[in-house]
Amino acid sequence: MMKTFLENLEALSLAAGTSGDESAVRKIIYNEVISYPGCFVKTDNAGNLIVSKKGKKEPKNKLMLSAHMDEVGFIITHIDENGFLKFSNVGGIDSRVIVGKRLLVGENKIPGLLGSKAIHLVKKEEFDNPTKTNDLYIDIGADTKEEAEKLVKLGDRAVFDSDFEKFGNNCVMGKALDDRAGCAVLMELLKDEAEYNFTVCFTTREEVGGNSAGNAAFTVDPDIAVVVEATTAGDVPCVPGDKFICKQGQGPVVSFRDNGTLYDMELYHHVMDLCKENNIPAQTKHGICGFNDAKFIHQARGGIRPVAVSLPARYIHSPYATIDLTDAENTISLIKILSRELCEI
Amino acid sequence: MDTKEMLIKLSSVDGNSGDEKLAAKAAVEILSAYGKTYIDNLGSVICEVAPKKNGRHVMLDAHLDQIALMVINIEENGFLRTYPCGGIDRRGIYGTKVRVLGKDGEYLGIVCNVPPHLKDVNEKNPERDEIFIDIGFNKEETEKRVRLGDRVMMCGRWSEIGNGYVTGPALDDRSGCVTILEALEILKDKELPCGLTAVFSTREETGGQGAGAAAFAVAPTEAVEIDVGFGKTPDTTEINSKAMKKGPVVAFHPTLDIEISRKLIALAEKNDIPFQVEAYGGSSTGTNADDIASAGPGVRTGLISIPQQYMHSIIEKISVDDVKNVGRLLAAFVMEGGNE
Repeated sequence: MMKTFLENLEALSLAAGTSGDESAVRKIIYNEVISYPGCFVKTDNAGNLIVSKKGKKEPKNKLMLSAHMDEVGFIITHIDENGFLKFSNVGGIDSRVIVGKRLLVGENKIPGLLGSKAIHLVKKEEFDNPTKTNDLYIDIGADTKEEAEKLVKLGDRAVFDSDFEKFGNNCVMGKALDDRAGCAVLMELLKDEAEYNFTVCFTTREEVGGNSAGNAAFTVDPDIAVVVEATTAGDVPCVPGDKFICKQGQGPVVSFRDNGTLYDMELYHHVMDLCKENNIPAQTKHGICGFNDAKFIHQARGGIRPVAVSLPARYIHSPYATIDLTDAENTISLIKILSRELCEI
Repeated sequence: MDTKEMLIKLSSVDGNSGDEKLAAKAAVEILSAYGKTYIDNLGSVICEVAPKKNGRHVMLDAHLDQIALMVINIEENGFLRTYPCGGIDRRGIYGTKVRVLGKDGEYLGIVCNVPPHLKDVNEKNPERDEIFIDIGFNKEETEKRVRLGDRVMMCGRWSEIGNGYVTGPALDDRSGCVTILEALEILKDKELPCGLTAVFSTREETGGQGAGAAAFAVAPTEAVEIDVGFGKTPDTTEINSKAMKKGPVVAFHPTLDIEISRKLIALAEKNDIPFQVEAYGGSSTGTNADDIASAGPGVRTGLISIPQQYMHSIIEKISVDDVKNVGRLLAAFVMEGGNE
């Protein structure tokens, strides 16, 4: 019995998988897609999960679709004499979303408290300016260094201890929706019988700007690559109105440019036209912001024509991101169309 | 129910400043085992354990309320603009899961925040009136569900952590309430030498109105306030914070009755209860002790703190042993606190 999109998304969101430590996520995807029709699965040296999908026909253009498995989080770098843990961020995290949050630390997922002194002890300037991440620490309830060392090792990772919930009008909240939502979208694509052969890569180390997706592209050697992402929806009150980038609920986001890639304009317009023809609401990014695996993929081998389709997601890189499930449905529809159309243009 | 379970049980019930009724209801059920218990006009829970005796009537008070947010406007696109009820930590409020206590039920939401990719457009912590909630509904849908004045609770998780600690929201000051329950349990079959009233008071986080009103009504000869105090963390000093697991913190402050402070120390020594001392100045203790001391004709008041790390967050942390030891000290004060 195949799991539904929402079941897959929940399992993926709750799994801990910071960059370079994606095995729990990889296992969830592997165990699910291995039973999908025509899927041949292998893991490469970079930890990417590469799924070759057998279709009815050989494509004119060899197509690769990808989503990254890793999430932002924390890596333990030091244990102090009183048992408090020092850490570094894995990926970009604003300190304003981490002060006072609960974490899951290490392989045994023990609770950790991302502490800071009480507000009553904070000076005026500290109130107004974000706390420096270097001044924060993780408390696992140990009283001594020795006690902490029994529970945690240097290099262990920590992730937000978040729930996965439906809320509002057809929205979900959870951690790591960037880019587990993209992974779940591609799992939907793999459920169907395929018209053409194509390859889906679930990649690693995207959040630290690693080249894992480039490694996968080298191996797969496609003509066209579609990166499926969850991207910044800044349509929220603490962001000035003109900086919204994209809006939740307005459909999949097709990019012409970000900080990593100048996308293939012919393919960009073609994808937008396909959205119109198929009555799929779509938007583009109103601003140049962020980058994704396309940065590495489009430079692999002799060059690969890049496309990026993203789910608009609010509050990414925080304990709870949100997506609108209607956007997810529309993104799934679009990706299914692209898996045929881009093979034959 | 052991101390740890009681801490989690009592902290898990909603009771924000000015809207403490669910927590008060839970408290009435528990306190009724120890004496006639009622809720007063400001919502405080008052348990009359024993009437005044030998010219002495002790009041023990801890506050029932917890910090929260209040909806002050419904914005374009359905976002809720909120304002703190109590000292919300603006440094870490972004990205918190919340429950909006709406018209016909609860609605889950997130405290809106700035994604790191747009960090340069907003680099400050939010002002008090710039804390927005996203409940996933548009303006029209939101207006059907949420009213101005509705409260917003920060979601957290309660659990044990490490060796002998409990963590979660609202331990400030439900853990103080639990110390009073610990004392009542120790005292329950004893012949008390004095009168005793236990108060779980309201609105401490917004000014201490509940404790002041209760102290007027109870009219005790002396009172002990129990609240949380700052526990030592890497970013605090030995002066502004006290050690975890090293016992109750007895306070000296101009507002407090110096004889009661000294008596508490003497009783801790006599009964082998670990204790720490804090002494500080200023015009107020920052606790209900101020409101109780100045109530009616004035009340001789002492203050004991439970060391707590990460006060006013969803990861407040206390030691179960510290809570038990505060309970022991309170029981000793009731039994032996009178003049020699």
